[in-house]
Amino acid sequence: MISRRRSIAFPVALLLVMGMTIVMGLSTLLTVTLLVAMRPEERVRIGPYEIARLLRSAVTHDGAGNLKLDEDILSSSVLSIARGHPSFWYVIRDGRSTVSSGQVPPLPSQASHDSAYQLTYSEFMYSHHGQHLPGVSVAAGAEGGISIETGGIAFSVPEAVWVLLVGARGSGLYHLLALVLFATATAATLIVKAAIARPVKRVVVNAEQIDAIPNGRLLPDDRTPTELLPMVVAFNTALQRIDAAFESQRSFLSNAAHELRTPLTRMRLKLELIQDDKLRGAVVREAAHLASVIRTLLQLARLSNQALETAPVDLVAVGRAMVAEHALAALEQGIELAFRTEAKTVVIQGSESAIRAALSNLLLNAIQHATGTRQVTLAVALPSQVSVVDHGPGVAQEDRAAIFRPFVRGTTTRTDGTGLGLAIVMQVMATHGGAVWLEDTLGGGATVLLTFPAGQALARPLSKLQGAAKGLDS
Amino acid sequence: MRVLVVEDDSELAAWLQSTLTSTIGVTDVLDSIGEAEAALLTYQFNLVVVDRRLPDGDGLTLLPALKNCSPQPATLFLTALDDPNDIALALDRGADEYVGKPFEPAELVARAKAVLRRYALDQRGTGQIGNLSFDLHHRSVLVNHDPVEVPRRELAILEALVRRAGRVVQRETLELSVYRMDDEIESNAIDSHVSRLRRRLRQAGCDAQIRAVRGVGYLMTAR
Repeated sequence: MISRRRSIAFPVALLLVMGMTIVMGLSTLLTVTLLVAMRPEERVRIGPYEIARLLRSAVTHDGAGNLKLDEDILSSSVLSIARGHPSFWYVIRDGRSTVSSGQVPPLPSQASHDSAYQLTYSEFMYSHHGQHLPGVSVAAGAEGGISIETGGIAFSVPEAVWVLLVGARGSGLYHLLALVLFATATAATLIVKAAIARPVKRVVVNAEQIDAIPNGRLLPDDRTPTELLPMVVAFNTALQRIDAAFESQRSFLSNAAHELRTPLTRMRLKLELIQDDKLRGAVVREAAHLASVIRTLLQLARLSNQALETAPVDLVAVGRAMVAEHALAALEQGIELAFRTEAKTVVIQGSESAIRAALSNLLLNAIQHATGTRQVTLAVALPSQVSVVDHGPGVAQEDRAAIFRPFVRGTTTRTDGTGLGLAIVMQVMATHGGAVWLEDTLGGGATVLLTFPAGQALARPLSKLQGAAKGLDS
Repeated sequence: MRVLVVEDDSELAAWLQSTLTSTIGVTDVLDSIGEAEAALLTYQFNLVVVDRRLPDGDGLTLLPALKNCSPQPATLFLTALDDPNDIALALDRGADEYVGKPFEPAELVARAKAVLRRYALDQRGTGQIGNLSFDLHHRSVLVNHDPVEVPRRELAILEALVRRAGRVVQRETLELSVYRMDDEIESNAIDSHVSRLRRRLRQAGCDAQIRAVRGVGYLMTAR
């Protein structure tokens, strides 16, 4: 199921827009009401003026060229308010036809209608049943133009306010208000988003800096806003739990190492007391085997439980150091260890201790399986490859996939390996995102190829000048 | 030679005491860091063998006290921890040698002797491998107590190899010990020096051997 994620900025912006709409509506209403209530003479003029404007916009001609009023506008709320006043009247003329309603009072002369191409507007007062009422006269256009006269209404304050508000509709005021609202909503959405995003971003940046090493690093919460604090605290608690779990794992491994190795050491020393040389030799070999199983098991446990701390590692230096470390032990078994490379340095991003463990196990493996042959070579090649080449019995085709699993040994093996060495190599290469290949050595034997991700290699080829340099050999 | 063993496992301590007494010299055994610190103030030792896991803490905490001794004893750490990071930490802090448990009895003695040889070379200027003895101050080499003439550069190589006897000395290290920085080095110069040195020692009847590790360097072992 896909969970739908929504930004919290939108509801916040929506609330803001709703609030603003209410405030703007109320303030407009209040302003108009105050205006109307405080200036009675203005209020008197509002009625006829607005009605005249309305009628003017409603005038059309029918098919016969006679005047006609748009039904929609005639049924509008403003006109229905006006019709509520019994003295309301209007008369519309275009020279040919006349439309009128109500009791039209005697009107002033039409002199103003002579001026051509002009919109004229005039107000007048007249008496009706002893009451002074306002009237307006609007003339549009030249001859054949329309003239509208209306009057006989005096709106109350609420009526005047309503008429003004409805009348303002055509003036673009509401469009302007809508534009302001839209702009505010957009700005609010962006600002709210940014305001929420900034502290979140800070937390995210800090969280991203947390590496895979359990070193007690926590997210700083000093500048975190109150709303985000529970999240940061929960995250930190989780981090602390992970650190604690890692620490207990670590101490378990160290205790296991101690508890297994100390009695093994005592046992090994007691074996020296065995008088029978043949028996002692056999038991000492067994003890050595047990020790090496324990060593590799602990190594494997450490590698699979620990997050690797990575740094630039020079495969040439590590490879050479590992050959140096195992050279004497190999010589004692009659095997010459050699190191070969064409590159001065082959730097990859990785864990030196893990790579050392892998190479060490490969060399031990090769020395063990190649007993009786002359040479084992560790080679480092560009861009980021390490190979260990032996001339022993090789690995049978059917064993190849299996020997990388813990405790599996090849069928051609004569000596007793732990069966864990290659599993460690696999583990190390997997954590580095690399690959392990097993090949036949030309002329017999096994070649194990380790390929580290090439993108990370920063290799420098060996200087060709070195061979040409003149020596000072004396 | 005087040896101090700091080990809380009584069986192991007893074995170390009898073995080191018979192979190196008089050996005292203590079972805590506190006692060892007190002993180091009063007595002089040539070699101190320390377990990492002791009742009153990590054996490494003894290192500052060992550094204050004059002459400074050689240090060998025994440990059940073989995390490469642990080993690197110990060597960084100044441990001379590190032996993981369980160990081969002969290997422990050999490592202890190798550390002592390095110290003898540093402190007294003399080193001994098999029947070869090397005097740094007099720049002289004796095989079976007979002096052997060794040219300057070969002597420098021999010194580097004796100093790290039983371990591979990388070619770069040998080059650094033989040549000045601005000397130009022919790529096989070290090899020809070593082969001349080998021949010279063989002719004198030396039973220490210089062995090549191809692509890495050389190592010297007593046969």
